[in-house]
Amino acid sequence: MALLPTFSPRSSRQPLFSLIGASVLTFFSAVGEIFLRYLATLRSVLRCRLDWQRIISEMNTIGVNSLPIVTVISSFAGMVISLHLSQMFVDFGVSSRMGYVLALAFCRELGPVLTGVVVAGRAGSAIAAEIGAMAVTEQLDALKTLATDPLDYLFAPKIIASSCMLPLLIVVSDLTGLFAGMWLAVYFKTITVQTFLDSLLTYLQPWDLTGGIIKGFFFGLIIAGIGTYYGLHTENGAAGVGAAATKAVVTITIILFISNYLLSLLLYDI
Amino acid sequence: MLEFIDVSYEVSGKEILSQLNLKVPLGKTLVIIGPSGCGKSTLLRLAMGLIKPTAGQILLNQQPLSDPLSGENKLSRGMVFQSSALFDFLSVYENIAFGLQQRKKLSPEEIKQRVIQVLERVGLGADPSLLTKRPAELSGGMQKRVAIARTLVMEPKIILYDEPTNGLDPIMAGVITELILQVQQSLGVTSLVVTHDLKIALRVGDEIGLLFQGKIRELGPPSAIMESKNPLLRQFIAGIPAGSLRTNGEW
Repeated sequence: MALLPTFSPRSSRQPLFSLIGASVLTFFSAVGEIFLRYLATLRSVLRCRLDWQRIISEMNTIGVNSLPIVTVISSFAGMVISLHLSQMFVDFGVSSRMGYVLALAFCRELGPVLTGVVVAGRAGSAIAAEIGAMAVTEQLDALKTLATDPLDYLFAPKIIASSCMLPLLIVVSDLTGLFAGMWLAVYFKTITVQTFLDSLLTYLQPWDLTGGIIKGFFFGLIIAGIGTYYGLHTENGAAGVGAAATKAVVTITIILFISNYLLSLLLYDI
Repeated sequence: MLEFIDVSYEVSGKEILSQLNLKVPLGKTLVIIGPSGCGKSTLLRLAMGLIKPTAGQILLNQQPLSDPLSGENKLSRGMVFQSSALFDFLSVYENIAFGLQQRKKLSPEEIKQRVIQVLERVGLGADPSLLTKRPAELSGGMQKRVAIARTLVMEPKIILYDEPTNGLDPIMAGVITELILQVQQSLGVTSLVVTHDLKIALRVGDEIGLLFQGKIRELGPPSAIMESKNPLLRQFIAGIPAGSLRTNGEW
């Protein structure tokens, strides 16, 4: 009833303002909760209260299991960019810069973003669904009754594994994309391997690669942090678990793109 | 003794428990009955320390109740959940051994022995293939027994049972009821059971309390409860829809 329009201008504004206010409060409370979880994870690391077996298992789930899809997507992304750029570079007579441009695009932006989106879809949704299912079936409470902190046992391993594996996956994505792009440029567009590699090694700076890896660390934190948040706030049984997974992927993807822009501004002298 | 002193609990301004006073004597079984949504499970979660009261205090042997993750009496309580709450990513063996493995005080061999002993106690010791099964492969009754085994293996002084026979057929409900009784008698643990199943209440309870509108409305031994003239209790026992006890969960 409160949301139905009324004739009084004052009262019609109130629901809108309270809606905006509630959304702002929810947003900041979520951000605060996620940051507190990062701090608690750091505290667990410093106190050596972590279950290393769980961390390795999560590294396998989040990292190793994402490897095939990251490789396939990066290969085709590398090839399609090369398809467009290499002909243009040959036509303009700047094929000697082809390797550099492709490497720059991959190391700075494409590798991190593609990997982030792939892992968000695979692991972000899985984290939200797993924790959500545990929340609605009282398994999180059961952990506490056995004197086991869900943070040490569940959340911290996911956050650590995700922030460690994303940078590695990004390196794989960069290498795969570059190799596939080079293969296409050499095979179809008469750019030699020597030219491609010379341009890459001459102009590409170590920081271009390092910046992408740093982005991966933050993307890993975002994926596990938001996935865990939505999982913990799951309600309404099985339907709620599905909704939590969907919300997690959508939110992670949006936050990834925003943070990618901000990190690019911070990391690279643009 | 587990003691609730003027305990209140509110969620979003709605009072679930209101200045509730209750004592669970050592080595005895107290059963709390009441209609769905009256706050029985909330009472157990407070006793476990999973949630904190908004007012009042809960004492365990005259000491304030600690958080389940820290403090001296953290392992003195165990809880059997309504849904069993077995970890679905672990096998039956791993579920039961979980608490012991996390404490890291026993060798793997000692843990194995304790798990086998406790499985025998709950009547699941005859089938070794059970140990490698996942909870989803078990029937509801078996899941409940594994959940009881997971609690017993930690050797708690107090066991909290949330609707232990809910969703089970009458025979399996009888098996679980006898198991609770046997655990209480052989180990001398203090038990707090919440249920709306009168059969189990009368069988296992040394005392039975009726919870309604956030307070204990009647408390006494099973015989006194059955003879009570309290209209709320009479309505609950007879299962009459019309009366002061509403059944739609709105209090």
